Formats: sequence, structure tokens, C-alpha cells
Amino acid sequence: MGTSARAKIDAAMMVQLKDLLGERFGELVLRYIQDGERRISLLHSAVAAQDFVVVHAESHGLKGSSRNIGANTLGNLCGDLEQLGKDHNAGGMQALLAAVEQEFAAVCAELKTH
Amino acid sequence: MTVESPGALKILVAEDSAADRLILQSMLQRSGHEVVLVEDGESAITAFSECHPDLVFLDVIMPNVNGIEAARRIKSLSGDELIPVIFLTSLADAESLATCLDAGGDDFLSKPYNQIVLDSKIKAFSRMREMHRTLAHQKDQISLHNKHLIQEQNVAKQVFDKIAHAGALKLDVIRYYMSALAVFNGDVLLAEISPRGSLFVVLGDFTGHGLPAAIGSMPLASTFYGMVGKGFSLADILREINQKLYQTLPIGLFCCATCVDINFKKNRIRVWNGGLPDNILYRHKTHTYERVRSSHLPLGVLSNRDFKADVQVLHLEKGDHFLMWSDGIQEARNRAGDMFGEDNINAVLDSGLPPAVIYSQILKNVQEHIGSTEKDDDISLVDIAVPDDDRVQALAPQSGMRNGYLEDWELSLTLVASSLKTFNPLSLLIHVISEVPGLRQNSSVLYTVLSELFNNALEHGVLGLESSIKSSPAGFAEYYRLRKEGLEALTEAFVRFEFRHETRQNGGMLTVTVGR
Amino acid sequence: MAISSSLSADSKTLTIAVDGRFDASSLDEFRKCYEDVSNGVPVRYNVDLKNAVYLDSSALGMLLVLRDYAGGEAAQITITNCSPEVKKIFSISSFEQLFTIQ
Repeated sequence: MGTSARAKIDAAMMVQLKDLLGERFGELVLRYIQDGERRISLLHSAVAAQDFVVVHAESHGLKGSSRNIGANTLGNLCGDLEQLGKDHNAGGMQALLAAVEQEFAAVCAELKTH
Repeated sequence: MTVESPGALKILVAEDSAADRLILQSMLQRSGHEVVLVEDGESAITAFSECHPDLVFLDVIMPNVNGIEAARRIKSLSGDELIPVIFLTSLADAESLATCLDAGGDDFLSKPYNQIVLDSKIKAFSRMREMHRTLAHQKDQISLHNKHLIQEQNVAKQVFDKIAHAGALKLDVIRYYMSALAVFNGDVLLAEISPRGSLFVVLGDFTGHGLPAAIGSMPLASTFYGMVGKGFSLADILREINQKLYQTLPIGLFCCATCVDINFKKNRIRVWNGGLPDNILYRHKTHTYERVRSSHLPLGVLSNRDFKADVQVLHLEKGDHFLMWSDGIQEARNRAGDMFGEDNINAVLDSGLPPAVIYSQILKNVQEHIGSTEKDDDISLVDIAVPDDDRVQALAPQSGMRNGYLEDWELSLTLVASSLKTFNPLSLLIHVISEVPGLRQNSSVLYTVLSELFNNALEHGVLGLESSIKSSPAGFAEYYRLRKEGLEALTEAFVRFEFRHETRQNGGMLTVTVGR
Repeated sequence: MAISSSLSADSKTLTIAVDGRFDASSLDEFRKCYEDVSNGVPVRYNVDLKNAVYLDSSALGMLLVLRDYAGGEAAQITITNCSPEVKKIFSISSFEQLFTIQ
């Protein structure tokens, strides 16, 4: 539903969330970013240590939060990583985490413009 | 603060992602619900116990006790109450879904959250909770009503047991077994010794069970005890019981019964059987038996005009046993639904066993047949032994029993004008006369005689009315008009009754004089 | 249906047929059979027990209620197709004094 090819976040979802949260929208952005940073940091060490349970849990968490704010591309990437964790598949985990991290940065940048 | 609306619920949300928590909280509050937020499974369980929510949202993957375990604990804490648990996840695979449902999860809510989906889910669960609550309330009400009913029946049973008391059932010549389907037994067994030392026993089986059957037992018991104690004959007692039941019971409710009057000194038994299975007189000498078949309609079916109180009289010998039972014995069913039946009873009767063990053998066989199934009728079995020893002495009439009896006496009653106008003395006089055992049995004849004497004295003697006036229908009305006027105008008059009673060798002599 | 009824062509005889157990549970159904006769007033009643498998004292009570409804002592009620067992029940309770048992 994005109106711009550059948009990382579903614009309609943004409108709905602003309407829902009102003055607490800023708080939502802050919490999403903090939560995401924490999870990515945890994912880094888990991927390095091949701790599949943590990879699964944290990518699952970030997937949900991302979908909730309309960051669907990020959500899908997290979903792929979650599946690797579930399947105990270390191959491609590192590359996928890098893609997640890059997309997360883009989402955060876009969120801050709202 | 949110405004309490009729559909407002208290909702517990356990979610470790702060942003998701904030979104869900905002959506729930927008719909007017009260929200309690926690971040992990352990806090969810604690918060559940503390704030008693109506609905719980649980993330599946959470630190400190995951959502699956938290759901399990919350479901066990909520007991009989329905507190829906909705998992916050979009679990893709069937295995995970099954795990969630297994733990007691009622539904799923996937991300991204959608206000409309959320509201409709909550509404559906609200409705379900409401229904559950209504059902639980009705269940409580039913069990409360049932409890009240049992309490009332117990009180009624205490009253019933006082009226249908054991009487002479404690005598060791009587053995009996009675089972009850409900609090009340549809069968009734009464025994009492008459002033002359005869043993009267009645075994009755009312149509139906429980309260309706027990209601019929009340007039039966009070009439039986009252009349046996006053020395009435079996026929009189039967007639009175029949009349009472006929008048008070609705059509279709009646009492199959056997009534016996046993005189152990004269070694004879009088039996009236109306509607019960054959009674058995089992002989001591030969180990054979005679049947006393039902030859009457049950009690309470016919009006007294058609009722027949004729009895069968049998000679007894020491050691004989008289047995009677209700149809519950034949109809007793085993687990397969087969009745105990006539043949099984006859097998015991034909076994040639000593009379004293017939009763216990029948009872034993019936109980073995029934096993542990629910009995579908009242089962009553009664055995009366003709004692071959001194036990007969215990049944002899005791002098001074109850309040004693009137023997030699005189009574004079004078009614003057004011009493003659309003008072009919006949009931009072019959009551006094009935205190003489020998006269009691003739009380209806005495009533007729006294009534004639009194009316003659009053109408012809005091009021001077001529019987001839009554010869035409018009005259009949005229007669009673004159009688009424005469009584109203009465000032100086009296009617006097004089009674003198003497006991003699074989009864007594009552002399009645009525004058004015 | 456990109990059914039919009126004769001349509307004079109502036949009530009992199928299966004839006991307290039949009470309402049995009563409706003769109370809800709309097209005629029967003068005779026929209770057909051909397919009745069991009869208890409540059933006897219901027959007495029918007898009362049908005029008490003037009632003309015939109970037909009685098995030997059913006949025995009527005999024990002396119901042949009140009904024609066949």
C-alpha cells in the first residue's frame, strides 16, 4: 500500500496509528526503536553462537512489532530469519541478519520523519 | 481513566514487546476496556490472581515462563469460571497452534493488530462468558432448589413418620423389609394391637411414589391406628379407610392393600386382600401353603355403597407363617431389565423349606436378582409368625391399657330451650358411648336409635308436631317450617336423656330413656 | 407414537391403542387421546392393549380416570387384546368389576 517506492512503512498504517495513539505516537516510535535495537543486539550474539532458540525468539518478536507498525518488508525479513532459527539452519543466517539490520535502520530513519 | 460501559471488561495483557503492548493497550482503551499490562509470563500469573480479569491476552514467546505455561496456570486458577485466553501470535504451523489450544488457549490474534478484528473477538467472548455465567447461575439455582426440596421432604417425612409410626411393628412375631425409591415410600405398613388383643396389620401399596403416595398414607394411618385402638372390627376399619381414601384421593390414585386381623388365642386370621399379590399362609406341619387371592378392588376406588369388606377366615396353627408383599417383589428388575417374577417366588414356596426361613429366602433371592441396580418400584415383604410359645402372652389385652374403659356407669343430660334451639347432642352422646368397647362396634346402630328417640321427643313431645303433616311433599316442607318456628318460639321446655350401663358376663346392658 | 386413538365411522366408539410401556410416563398422552376428541362424542371406549408390553398401577389409575370421564358407573369401556400377564394384573386388582376385559 506504500505510496512511494522508497517507503519502508505502510503509510495507511501510520495514519491509523497516529490516530489511535495521538500524543503517545512519539512514545511508540521510541519504544519500537529501543526494543528493535535490543533484539538486534541479542540476535548478533545468538547468530555468532548459533543459539537457534534465541534467534527464533528474537526474530519472531521483531517480526511482530514490525508488522504492527506497518514495516512489512522488515517483518518479512524477520520471518525468514525466524524460520532459519526454527529449522536450526545456520547457513545464510549471518547474511539475513545483515539485511534485517539494514532494513531496521531504514525503518527507524523513516519513523523519525513522522 | 476510561468510562465504564456495559460491555467494559477488565483485560490482562502480557506481551514483552513494549511497542506492541502500547498499541494493544490503546486499542482496548479506545473500546472502553480497563487494561492491566505486564511484560512476562510470571507477572501475568501474579496479575491474574490479583486483579481477576475477564479476558487475557498472552504473547507466546515471553521471558520468565512463556505464554503456553502461563495459559495453563491461568486456566487452572480460573476453575469453573470461563476466562478466555487469547494468544497474541500469528503462529503459522499447525503444531504450534495445537500446543496453544492444548494449554487452554481459546483463540489467536495475529499482528498487525486490527481494531475491528479485536473488537469482534472480544464481543464474541463476552457473549460466551455471559452464557457461561447464566448457565452456571441456573445450575446453582437448580441445585439450591433441589436442596430445598429435599429439606422440605425431610420435614414432611418426620411428620409422616409420626403419623404412620411403627405401632406394633416392633413385635418379634413380625419381620418386614421395605425399601424406598424416594424420600417417601409408596408402600405403607402399619400394625397395632386391638383392645381385645388381636393383631391388626395392613400392608398398602399406593399408586405412584413419593409425596402423592405418602399423602394417601396419612388418612390410612390415622384411621387405622384410631380405629384399631378403639376396638372396631376389621370390616368397620376397612370401610372407614376406603371411604376416607375415596373421598380424599383424586380419581386414579388408590391403595392396593392387605389387611389382617389375627387372634392368636383363637388361632384364626381374617384377611382382606384388595389388589395385592396373593398372600401366603405357610404351614408349619406340612411345609405347604395356601394362597389368599385378591378378591376386591383396591382401597379408595369404590364408594362405600359398593365397597365390600367381606374377609376370608383361616385357621392358624402354632408355627405357621403369614406372608404378604407388594408387586415390587415380582417386578424387581435386574441389570438386564428382567423381572424377578412369579416363578422365582413359587420356587421358594415350593422348596419345602421350614416356614421360618421362607421370608429370608425370598428376600435374599430378590436382592441377589436386583444386584446393585436402581430399584424401579417399592419393595415390601412382610412375615407374621404364629408364635408357638409364650410370646402370645405379650399380645393379650392389658387391663388399664390406654385410658381404661367405661364399665358400669350412669349419665343424665338435660337440654333446656336455649340449648334445644341450637345444639344437637347426638355426637356428644355417641362419643361417650364409644368409650365402652362393646358398644363402640354398634355405634352406627346406636346413632340411628338415639337420633329417632331425640327427634320424636323434640318434634312430637316438645313441639307437638303431627307426623301426618309430612305425608305429602308440600306437607313435608310445611312440617319443617313449623318445626323451625316452634323452636324459635320455645321458652319453657326440656329433653332429658338417661343412660345406664352395666357390664355382664358376655358383654353389657345399656338402658336409654329419653323424656321431656 | 406410543398411544394413538381413532374414532369409529359412526363417531360412537373411540379406540385408544397403547404401544409399549403403559405407565406413569403415558399419563398426558393417554388423557389427551380422549379429551381432545373434536369430531363427535363417543359413547363407548375401547382400550386396545395388543402392543402394550408392561402395565403398572399408574396405568390402572389412568383407566379409572378415563372411566370417571366417560361417565363413571355408566361408562362403557372395553379393554381388548389383553395378554395373560395383563389379564392377571386386572384380575388381582378386580378391575373386571369395573371394565369389560377381553
